[in-house]
Amino acid sequence: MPTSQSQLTAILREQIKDLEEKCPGYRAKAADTLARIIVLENQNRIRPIAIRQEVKRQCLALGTFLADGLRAQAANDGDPTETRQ
Amino acid sequence: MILFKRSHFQNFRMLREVELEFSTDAHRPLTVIRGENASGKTTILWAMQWAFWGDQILPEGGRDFRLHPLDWHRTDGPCPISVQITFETEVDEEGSTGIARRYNINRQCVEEVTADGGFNRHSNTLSLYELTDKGTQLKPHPELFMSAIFPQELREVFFTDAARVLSFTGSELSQTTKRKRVQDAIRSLLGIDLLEDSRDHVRWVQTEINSLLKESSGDEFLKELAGKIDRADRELQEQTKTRDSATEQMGELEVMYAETSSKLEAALVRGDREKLAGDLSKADADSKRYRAQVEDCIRMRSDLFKDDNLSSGLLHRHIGAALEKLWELKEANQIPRNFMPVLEQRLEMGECICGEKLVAGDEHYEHVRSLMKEQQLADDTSSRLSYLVSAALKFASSDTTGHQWLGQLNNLWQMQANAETGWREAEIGRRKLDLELKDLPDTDVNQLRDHRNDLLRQKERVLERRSAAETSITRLGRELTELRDNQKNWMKRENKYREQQSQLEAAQDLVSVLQLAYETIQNTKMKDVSEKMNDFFLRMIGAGRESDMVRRAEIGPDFDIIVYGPHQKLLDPDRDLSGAQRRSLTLAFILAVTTVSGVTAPSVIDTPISELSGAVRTECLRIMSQMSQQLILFLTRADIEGVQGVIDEYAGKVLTISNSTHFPQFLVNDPHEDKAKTMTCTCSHREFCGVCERVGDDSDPDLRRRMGAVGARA
Repeated sequence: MPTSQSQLTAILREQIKDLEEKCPGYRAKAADTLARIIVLENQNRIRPIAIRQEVKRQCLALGTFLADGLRAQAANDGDPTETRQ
Repeated sequence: MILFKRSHFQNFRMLREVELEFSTDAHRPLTVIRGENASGKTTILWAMQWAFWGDQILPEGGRDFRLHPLDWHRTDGPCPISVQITFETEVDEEGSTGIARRYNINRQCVEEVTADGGFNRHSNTLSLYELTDKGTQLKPHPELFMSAIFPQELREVFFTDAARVLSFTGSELSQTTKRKRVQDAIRSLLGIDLLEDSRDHVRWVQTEINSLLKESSGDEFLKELAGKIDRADRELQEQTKTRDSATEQMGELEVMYAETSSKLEAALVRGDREKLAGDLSKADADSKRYRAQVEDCIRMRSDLFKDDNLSSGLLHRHIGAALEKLWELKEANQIPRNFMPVLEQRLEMGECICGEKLVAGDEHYEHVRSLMKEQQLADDTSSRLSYLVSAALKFASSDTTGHQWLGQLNNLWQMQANAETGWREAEIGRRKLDLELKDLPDTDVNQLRDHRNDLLRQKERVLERRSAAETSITRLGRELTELRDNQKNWMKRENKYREQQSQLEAAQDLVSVLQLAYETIQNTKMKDVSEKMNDFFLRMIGAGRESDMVRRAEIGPDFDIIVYGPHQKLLDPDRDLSGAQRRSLTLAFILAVTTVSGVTAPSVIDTPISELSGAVRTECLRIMSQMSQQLILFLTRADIEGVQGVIDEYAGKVLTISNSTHFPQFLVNDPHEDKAKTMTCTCSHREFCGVCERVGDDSDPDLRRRMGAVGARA
């Protein structure tokens, strides 16, 4: 792909700076997820893959990371409802 | 990053066997391929494009576009045609970047010249190889890989020839086509397409998660469930209390019952008043019964002494003679007499047995009457005698000995004796019981018994209560287990719900970042491209000053390339710009879009500065060399004139191509080639050799003969 992936990633990272750090490491994880999605989109153009499912997997992984982070955060803050499994 | 390293052409028109190497030096990105008209420059450009995109980029889809050399004769057999390009890119077939990899693309076909001078093309194949230290590896799906690396919409960015150097600004193109080309180039190089796809795919994920969320939200239900569990818990506690209380009460009642039972048993051991009373009553009844029996026996004995048998027994010997006499009378029919009824009957009938009438008062009648009187007297005696006979007969048939009577008497005596014994014993028992009853202490067995029964009833009631409580406890326990299992499941769902909420939130964040990046590129980067293009363009044509007719160029929101003149007056590039300016504008746009996108990609341009002159030409070449990552230019000797310094500064590689058929008209030396072909040599823009020496080169002060050069290279 002629698109400069490094430049795209740089632009995305710049935008991610404004993203709320909802739990520790969330912003970095989001940046990583976006980079992965861009790679997947590139890959899809070179050799078609199940792009929706692949992107979904990345999104869900980020969401689970956020959910775990929020749960841990709430547990630290003493919210008992967040510790239940 | 994409860099061409070398290319190899076989039988592609006049490129019978040509190999070119390109500069990959970042500081000297320029490769100059010097060649005069009809030496194969444009053919090389076509060949390279054919390698990437195949027949579709050839005029009319390549149907009538011959690829084999013009002088290829059908007797030469099938003509194998191939173009190989070796390039380096950081994008691998998995779509990731970072490590530079070398690939070799090889497009081949075969053309057969027909008898009528036409040709048939077949066996068109495309192969992609990765070149590694370990060897060459054939890669799958070369078309997809190549279309991703070199999308066709960027063809004008990568390859520009003299005819298409105005591909973004040419007057022969419709505004729509120009817009689309500009838009495609910008969108593709800046990654807008990629961002749009990414954003749309994440949005799809967002929708997917949202639909799941609608189904799994159970917050209200969990609250309701918690309420039910609380109520069941409380009820369970109540029932447990009830059961425990009943158990305790039951224990107490058991103790009391045991005590009462003991008391009762002790009382009963000492004597049971009621039983004693019952026994007494029974003894009393027995006594009465036996007494009655005694009395009966006495009466029966008395009756027995009135019995005929006793008389018979006693008189038997004395009445024997009379009895015999009576038998005799009976035998003689003296007794009993039955005459009287006949006479009475005849009197009543008024007719005698002899047939004579009997009338009251007459003699016969009176006679009969007197007979009847006599008979009546005789009958009294006879009657008594008859009775005696009858009685005698009874005596005669009875036990005249008196044994039977005595037996009866004995029996009665025995019965009476037995009854008297029973009576006596019953009386003794009665008196004894009566005394016992009088002596019994004043313990109320019945009261004890009632108390014990009452305790038993209480026990039963408590047992019922405990049993009911236990049933409730079992039921509530089961309910609670079910409710808690349900709660657990719902909490799992709720946790899943929360996770899905987070996933949705994450997807939303990703979409917003992608959208922002998209808008940034649309707004900022587009503006950058526009400004860069303006900068390059004005520098190339040496314009922009107050006195100049061209003041500014920009890319409009609709992807139009707009040029402004004095007083912000819009200029029509087709009419108001010169050919050189339009070429410069196209080159400036290509440079701007590749520079801003940060894409490291080659630009292969055929004679870009041929219509430029003087400072514009120099500046144009300089800017292009400065801003390009890899610039491959096909220049004539005339193009090079005046820009040697720029080439000296930026060219990493310069080579020369010559057409063998140009001998002897233009070429000095005979190439000794039977067929028309493009020849290459490594002569730079300041050199000539035995292969490329053209008429006049020897006297050109800007050129020098390359020492040690050998003949044409294959």
